[in-house]
Amino acid sequence: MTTRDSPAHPQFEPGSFRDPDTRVFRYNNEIFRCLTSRALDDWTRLASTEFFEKLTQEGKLVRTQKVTDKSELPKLNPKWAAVLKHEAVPFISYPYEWPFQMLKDAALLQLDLTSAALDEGMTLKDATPFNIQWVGSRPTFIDIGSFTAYEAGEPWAGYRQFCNQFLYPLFLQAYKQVRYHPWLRGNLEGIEAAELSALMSIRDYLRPGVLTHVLLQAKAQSRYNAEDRDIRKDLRAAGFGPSLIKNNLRHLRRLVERLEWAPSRSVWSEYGKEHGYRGEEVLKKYEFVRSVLTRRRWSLVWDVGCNTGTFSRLSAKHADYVLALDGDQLVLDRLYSELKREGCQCILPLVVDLADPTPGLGWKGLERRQLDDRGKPDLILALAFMHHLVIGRNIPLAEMVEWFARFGADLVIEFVGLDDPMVKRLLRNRTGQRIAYSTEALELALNEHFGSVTQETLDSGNRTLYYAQARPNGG
Amino acid sequence: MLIRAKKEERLHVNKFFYAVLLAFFVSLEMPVEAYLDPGSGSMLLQVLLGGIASIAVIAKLYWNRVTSLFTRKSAPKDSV
Repeated sequence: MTTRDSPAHPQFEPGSFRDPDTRVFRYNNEIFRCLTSRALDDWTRLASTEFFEKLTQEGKLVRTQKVTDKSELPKLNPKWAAVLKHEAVPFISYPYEWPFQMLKDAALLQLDLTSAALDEGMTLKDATPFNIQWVGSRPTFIDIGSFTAYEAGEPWAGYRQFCNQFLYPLFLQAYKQVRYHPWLRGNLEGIEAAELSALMSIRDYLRPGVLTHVLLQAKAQSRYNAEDRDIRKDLRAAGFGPSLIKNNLRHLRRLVERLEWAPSRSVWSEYGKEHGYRGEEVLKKYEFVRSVLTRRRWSLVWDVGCNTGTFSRLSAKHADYVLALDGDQLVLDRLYSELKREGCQCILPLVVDLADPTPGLGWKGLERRQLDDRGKPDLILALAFMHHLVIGRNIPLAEMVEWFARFGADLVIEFVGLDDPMVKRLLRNRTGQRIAYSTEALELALNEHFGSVTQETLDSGNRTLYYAQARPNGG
Repeated sequence: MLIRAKKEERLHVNKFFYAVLLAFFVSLEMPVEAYLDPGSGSMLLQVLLGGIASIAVIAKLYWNRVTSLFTRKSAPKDSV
């Protein structure tokens, strides 16, 4: 931007600065994208393609239309030649919050879009998972500004980025059994070829894709990236064409499709079978939560520590959208696969450790927003969860309740007593420590930060459910 | 009346001034073909990943390098 925006001008989304030809802003809860004249040419071309119409219908591209009457919008710098309006996604999420299968499906969508675009003389400027968002279990591509005319002889501009941000994280998890989430959260640019190459053993060289996409690419980068030679010009002169890119895309698609991450179990994946409930207690708990859910229609429910997603599914019947949050990737990977099979578009599974929720990242710490800035819940379910924070992670009970209260949402929270097998497991090596963990401490904190509190103790006396209503002034 | 006319005149001058200023700043923006650096090494590797169609491109790439060496050497001689 060369001129300063006056207050009447739109506030651009802090994450939309990378491509100078388009910027995104939110106005009256709607999403708009400004285009320069160059980007407008690309849009006009895109709108006339067959794949755009088809993939929009299938929900793989975000619904977009050109704004014809700009008088209702804030004043725009004359460098913007046109404005598009996008359909908003219910909740923004990032690749470091997606379980393996979600990143894999996002990668396949990126490849399919690039291939479809090439068939009609277009390509994409980049290949980053941040351009893909979710409507429940359906991935949808949101960066319409990424489509541009393909110029003869050009290589695929997004290949390296595709490797760094999709392929290498998937390799890391499928081949090395290492979670990619901390890596992607630690570096928004993804994993470099040289970094992944250093982790690969000789045995890994034989795994599909490692020799070419990792080792050779690392070698090629160290040999040529510092050279002044105009590789683009060389390739154009040598007759590089879209058929080579299509072959690479086809090979990558097969490769990604076959990647699997299949650990047999994680700490919490057997919870459904092992949890310490008696049969009738499960029903009572279910009824208690249902009685809260049926009080009204909820717009956004957070089910924290969702595990198998039983209560996320129950919530989805009474809410517009549900976040199924858990720190355990395996349970969410399974939940996502089930939801995808069912075609569910109202539950979004995200890998989030609430003791360390996703922070703001990137330029100014605002490019990728922190979890609680992306949509406030009006109901939080914390069922069989608080002992993981209070005992497992030493978060003081009162601070946990205060954190929940900050959202201004109603809260259903379950207290699990010291006789529960999971609580015993958490406490087994913690002898001699004093932890404030009791129904009395919980009730005190709830009464301090919430409005009316109702409760029900399950038959065994070891589990108590609370429904705490938000204070009208937001607590 | 006179004051209003003067105000309008000033507004016109202001608009003109800002238009010139904007044009000046826009002209300062550096035009770039692509905002993302695809990486020279990664671009070259794509030739190898292109399947059978690669063979002709690789051959031509080498051939062009050989001939470019030749033409580069001869260019200064011509200019002397």
